[in-house]
Amino acid sequence: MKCQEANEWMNRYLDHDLSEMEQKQLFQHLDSCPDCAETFDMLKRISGKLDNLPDVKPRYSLVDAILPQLDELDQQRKQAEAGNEITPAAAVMQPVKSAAAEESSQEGRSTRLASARRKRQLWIRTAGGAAAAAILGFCIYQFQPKEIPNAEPPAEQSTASSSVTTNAASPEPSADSKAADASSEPASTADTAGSSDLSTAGPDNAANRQSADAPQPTQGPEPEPGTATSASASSAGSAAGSPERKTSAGQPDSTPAGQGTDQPLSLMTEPDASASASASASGSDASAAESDSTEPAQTEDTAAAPAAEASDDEAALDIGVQSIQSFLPSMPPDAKKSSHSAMSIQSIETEQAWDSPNGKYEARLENGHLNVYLISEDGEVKIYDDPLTGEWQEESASWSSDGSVFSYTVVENGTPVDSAVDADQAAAAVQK
Amino acid sequence: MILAIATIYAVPPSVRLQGRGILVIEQELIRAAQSGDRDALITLLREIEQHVYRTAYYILNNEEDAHDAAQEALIRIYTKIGSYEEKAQFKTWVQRIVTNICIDKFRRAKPTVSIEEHEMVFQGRESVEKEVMSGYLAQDIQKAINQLPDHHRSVVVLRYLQDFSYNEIAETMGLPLNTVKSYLFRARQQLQNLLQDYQKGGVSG
Repeated sequence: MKCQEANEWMNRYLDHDLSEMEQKQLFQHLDSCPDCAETFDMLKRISGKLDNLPDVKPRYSLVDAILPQLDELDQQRKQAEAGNEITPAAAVMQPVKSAAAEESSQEGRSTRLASARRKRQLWIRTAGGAAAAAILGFCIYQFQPKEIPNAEPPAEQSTASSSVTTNAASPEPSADSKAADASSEPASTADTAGSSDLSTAGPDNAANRQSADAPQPTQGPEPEPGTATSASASSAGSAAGSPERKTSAGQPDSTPAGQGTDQPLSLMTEPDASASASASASGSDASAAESDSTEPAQTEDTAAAPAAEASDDEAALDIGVQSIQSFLPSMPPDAKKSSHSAMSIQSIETEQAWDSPNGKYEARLENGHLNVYLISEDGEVKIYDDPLTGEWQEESASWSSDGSVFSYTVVENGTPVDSAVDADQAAAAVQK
Repeated sequence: MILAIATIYAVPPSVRLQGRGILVIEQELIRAAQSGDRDALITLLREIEQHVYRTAYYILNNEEDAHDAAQEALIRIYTKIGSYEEKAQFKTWVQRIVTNICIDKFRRAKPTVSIEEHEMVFQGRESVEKEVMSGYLAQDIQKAINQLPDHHRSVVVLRYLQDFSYNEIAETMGLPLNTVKSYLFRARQQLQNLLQDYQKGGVSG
């Protein structure tokens, strides 16, 4: 036996990896080779030390320490579930925050280098198209009226992008303040990009499906923009030159996995719903702003209740909607009706209405949606749309005395869910 | 629901040193956790908590970081339990998560001694005797471990603090078996050299 081989065998001996036969051979060699015997002694000693390293225990129960966080994750998951129609089993498997998101947020935290920052922004831009497409896709699915057991839009989201921005900025102030800032800008470019996507995508849903796939969270630190090169995603990406784009770009990696995984399916199975896509496209900037906030459930809520911002750019929206109509003749009238005020071709059945005390707004219960309109000489503009999923509580609906906040309650699965619409903020966002 | 949890030792007592057991959790508990049984999942986390912390502590050599990393690993396990597949051992899946977190997120700019630098340095009899006389201090060996490159350190931790076999280490770290062996053997040599340096320097800790 050569000494080099002996050395390996010594190590394997220490790791209980030698057969009896091999052990015998090794010891024979050690008997005849003092150098190796010495090395063996040293190795045994070091291995013994390692074996005897003191066991360590955490100073406190780590599980107890993280229980509140876990509860929070569960809450978010529940909300996401409500919006996503995920079975409980699947929900458990759904990472609330993708690994990629964690990696990249960590990256944002630890690397303060300007170059890293620039790289990140660049990436955000390119990947943005993918994110927008994904969220778009999600919205397509979400926006189908009546069928969605939609998550309630929490007040903060239902108001306007500006409030969402603050929300997003707080958990990760250093890393993403810039992106978050940008999200307060009107997302008209994003919308246009969004709608043109759909019109170029044509009736073939494969393109959509592909783009929805793109930002699906992966284990990797970055969902590489390469996957975003499908037709719609890349066109969105190229339209993304403007700074506003960054907003809807956001961080696609933080798109909750549930969303990412559900989209392809929904796109395949619900092609008709595309009509409402552009209406909800602007939801993407709100959710993008949320992206790093470790509250993906809210992200989904925002996407589900995008109407507050949906009318950001009526014109773009209109074009988008029409182009969609042109290649989706089979679109059910129901979807058309609810997709947006821009499509007020059909008569809307108003079940009930509440005028705000200052006369500026009117909240209406229409076709199962709670819509809020800004009333002006030029007509009315929808500034908020909540596709109600629970049982409407009539007595709960009221305007605040100053006429700026409309509060209402729906009972969802036996739980009352309160919402409040800050009409001033929503209107401001729409009018930008 | 009755959840059976068994702690067994993976290596026979004759070769087992210090009784550091390897926890084998009934598949049933894992499956229950995967199917959305939150209590099962929490129970599972409590079962692995110390193992996770131990690895984090020895890779990071710092209590505070170890607490943070272990908590993060547990949260990740909580959210990702659904992605665990039974073709891998649960314990290696868990250790992969914690080692990755430790290496990726807590990588510090700290001096690690190049393995090559100390390669094949054979000590004279004199220094060996000196060692025997004085013995190593526990903190010396921890200090030495902390000087190893990340992957070598992780391999050592998995081998000695988790009692993992070559195969289990390979599975945990996603490395070929031969690489695992080579890391481990080099790490031993490296530790030996470092400890001798400490001895020679006459200052420990």
